[in-house]
Amino acid sequence: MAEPVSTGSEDTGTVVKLSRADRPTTPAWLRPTVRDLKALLALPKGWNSYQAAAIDPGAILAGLDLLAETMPPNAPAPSVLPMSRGGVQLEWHERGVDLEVSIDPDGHIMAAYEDEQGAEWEDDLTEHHARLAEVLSDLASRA
Amino acid sequence: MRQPPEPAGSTTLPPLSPDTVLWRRIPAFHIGFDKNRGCRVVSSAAFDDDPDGQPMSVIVARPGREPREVLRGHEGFGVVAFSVQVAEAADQVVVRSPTADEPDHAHVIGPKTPSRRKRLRDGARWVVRPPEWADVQLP
Repeated sequence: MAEPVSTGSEDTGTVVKLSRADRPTTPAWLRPTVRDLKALLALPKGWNSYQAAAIDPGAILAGLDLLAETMPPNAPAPSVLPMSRGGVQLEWHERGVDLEVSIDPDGHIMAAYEDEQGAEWEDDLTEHHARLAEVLSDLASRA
Repeated sequence: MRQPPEPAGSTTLPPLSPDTVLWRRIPAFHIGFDKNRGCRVVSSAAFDDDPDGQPMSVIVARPGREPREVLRGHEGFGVVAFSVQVAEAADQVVVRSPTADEPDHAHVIGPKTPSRRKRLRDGARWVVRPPEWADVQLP
């Protein structure tokens, strides 16, 4: 049986005991994605040899929010690339799918999708993320 | 009909023909891995505008000029080439925009949606590929 783990608050004195088996599993894609997004924050202005902006922390957070909302736990981690306007691009090129999602510093989100069956679309996902959740779920199921 | 005279001091830059070649530097940050193809590739993210509303920069390939010249001071970068025709097919307009440092500088003007950036990337070819990028493909 797993050893219980204590956690709690000094303010309230509340202590909750959890066994390790009770703790939610961290999705495999989370750690490498956070690591790669964090690395982008070190890029200096002009990193692309032109006038590229430093990567906006707000775009990083927007990307993480988007992934938290749309990624199934078993989905593959995206490649993370910097955008010259200070945004980030998330890409999946695997399992017969090519999916690119760009997140601008102002929060504007665009996606382009293609797959081996010939499906192809481009969409503004700034307000609605359901279409992205759908294709990421499909991508995860292709494993 | 007679054309009005040009204002004093103005310069008329020669227009760019569809087959004019444009160069753009590619940083290592824009190389990713394509598991579908089993190789590294240049991301479409390399074909985006600059911040503050400035369009994407390119250099017009002047006959006789070596592409390696545009890497001076930018070691570790590669250079790709695409034509004005490729840019126009991606709904872009290419306009000369000389600077003090780069008389062959031009802007690629137009919305850079993901599909348009992919069209620019897919229409490009390597002209300077660093040796350590020998496996990096342009789709």
